[in-house]
Amino acid sequence: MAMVDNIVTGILVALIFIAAGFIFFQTQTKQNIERLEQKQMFFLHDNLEVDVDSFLLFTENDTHKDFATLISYAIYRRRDNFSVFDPLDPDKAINITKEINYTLTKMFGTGNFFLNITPEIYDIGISFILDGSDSLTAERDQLRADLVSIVTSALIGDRTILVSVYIISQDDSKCTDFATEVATLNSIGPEVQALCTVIHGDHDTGDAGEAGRCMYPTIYDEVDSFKSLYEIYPPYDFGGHNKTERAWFTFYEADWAAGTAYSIGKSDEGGMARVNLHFPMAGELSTGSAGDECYTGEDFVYSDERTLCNFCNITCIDNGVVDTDEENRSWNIVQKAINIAVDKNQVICPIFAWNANYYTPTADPAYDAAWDLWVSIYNSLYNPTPNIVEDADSSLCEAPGCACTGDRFHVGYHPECINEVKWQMQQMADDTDGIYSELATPADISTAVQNAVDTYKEPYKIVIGEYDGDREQLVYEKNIPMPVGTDFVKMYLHVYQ
Amino acid sequence: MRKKKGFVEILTTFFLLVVMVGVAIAFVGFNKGFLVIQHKVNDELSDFTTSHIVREKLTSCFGIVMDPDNITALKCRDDNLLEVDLLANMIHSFYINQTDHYNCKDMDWEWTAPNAIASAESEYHYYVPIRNKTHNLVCMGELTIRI
Repeated sequence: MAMVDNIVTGILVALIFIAAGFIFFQTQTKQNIERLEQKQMFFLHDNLEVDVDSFLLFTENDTHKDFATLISYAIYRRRDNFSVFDPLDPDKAINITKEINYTLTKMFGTGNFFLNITPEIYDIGISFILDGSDSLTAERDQLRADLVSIVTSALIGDRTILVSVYIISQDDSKCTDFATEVATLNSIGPEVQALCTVIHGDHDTGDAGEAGRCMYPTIYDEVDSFKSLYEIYPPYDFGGHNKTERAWFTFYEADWAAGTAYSIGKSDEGGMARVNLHFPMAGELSTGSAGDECYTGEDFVYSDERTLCNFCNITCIDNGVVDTDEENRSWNIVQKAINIAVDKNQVICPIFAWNANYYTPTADPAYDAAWDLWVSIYNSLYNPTPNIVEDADSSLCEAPGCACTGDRFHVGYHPECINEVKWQMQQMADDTDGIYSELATPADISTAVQNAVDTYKEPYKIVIGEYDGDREQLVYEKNIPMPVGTDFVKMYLHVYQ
Repeated sequence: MRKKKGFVEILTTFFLLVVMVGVAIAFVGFNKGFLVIQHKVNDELSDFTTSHIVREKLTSCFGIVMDPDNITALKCRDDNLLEVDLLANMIHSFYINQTDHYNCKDMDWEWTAPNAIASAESEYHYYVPIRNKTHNLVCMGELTIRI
């Protein structure tokens, strides 16, 4: 019996050792398998990382730029169809999304990946550049009425909004009209900052403190070097190329392109996290649609005469070409505004306000006569069946081709320039990825601005492929630096297994 | 009665011995299985690591080299030949295909270790950048490492 007991005990001991060994090996193997799985996962992630890093280094054929650069440009410029070498040359444009899709499909296969590059917008800048003359009074009033609701509609999360109203005028009291709205916006909280500034066209106010408020370079401009850098000079350079000289005529009130350049120059650099929208509003060529002689002549007898100067002269030729002196005068400064906007990544959303309410004519007979003549030209060109009879007793109405009819309250200068003004505004919008709008009535201003704000308050995304949460997938996250500044945009690439 | 008792003891002992031998055989079998799995795991881990090392060595070259119009050898940054002897002890072979991508031509390079006798057991694929000096492009390359 003792022998049996010994054997049984021995077997039990052996079994314990065997079980212990079994458990030991099983644990070891299990750990090794877990290590393998971890290593496999690491390997797959590393593999994807290598693939994606390689993808970002591959160069696109036409631009010779790598995909990391192209993606950062696309996000920065808010467009996937552009030329890297010359942002304004559509002939050299490439479609970034198409190129990325082509390459990733080649690497991972059709439907096997999902690319998501969605920057976050933290700040929005909204700037209005308004002609300070009476012709835009109704539009300014309308903007004032809608300003608070437009701004609050763009408030999302922690986003900050900077609202700037620039009124081009020599009259500093113009901003008092906006005082209530500015105060209301500033009372919302630290996320909203609003200001109204009157910007001047003269250079010799003699006060260094005023220099920063002039849209042209002045001798005091040590800070606003962009004015000289982009040559934002007045159109008339009298005597000795003295850029501080001011023309006699108050052209600057209508120089909305210089005002836009000023607004852009004063704004922070745009980028992934910041969108700056600039809304110039006008119905004339920048610097005005009147002929050059109106800016240099000093022989006007009546004060209103100079305003109506050149009504009978055609200053624009509606042929789709910038060819007259007046068209060139405007186009010159418009191009400069475009250049500074492209360089600083700003968006211009011009608003064409043709039916501007001009001020009520005075009782001055010479003024009325000139006015009637101009109204007749307007009607003969653009309103063949006028329904309002206007001051029929003017002798100037006897001029050939003139009929004294029209609605003096809903007209603008030089109707023959309408298409040229529209074209130049459209160029501004096209070259800066902005939105061009036309106002049928002043009430449309809210819709025009709201439309642009709604479009740009959302970030510009590059999304390729379909997201499928049910499929097993690896996700690779990569920070891509922006071409300007210190911002990064996060790129997420999901590769389905 | 005593005889019967002795028979039972022998039978019991025999039975227990059979059980013990069975368990021992099972133990050895299991352990062998475990060892095979462990061996395979270690091999794979080793292969992963090797492929990483080789890929890094190769891509450090590919990022710089490849003049598709004048390929005589794989060259590294300093224009020295790739240290193939080093690779020869690590991998079976590698294969690079420069894909037909934009201006990049569809071209292949293949290298097999001089002492490679047995066929490769594992394959690892990567996309790697291949700088094209002629056209100033970075082409897409598919690298296959066989171990």
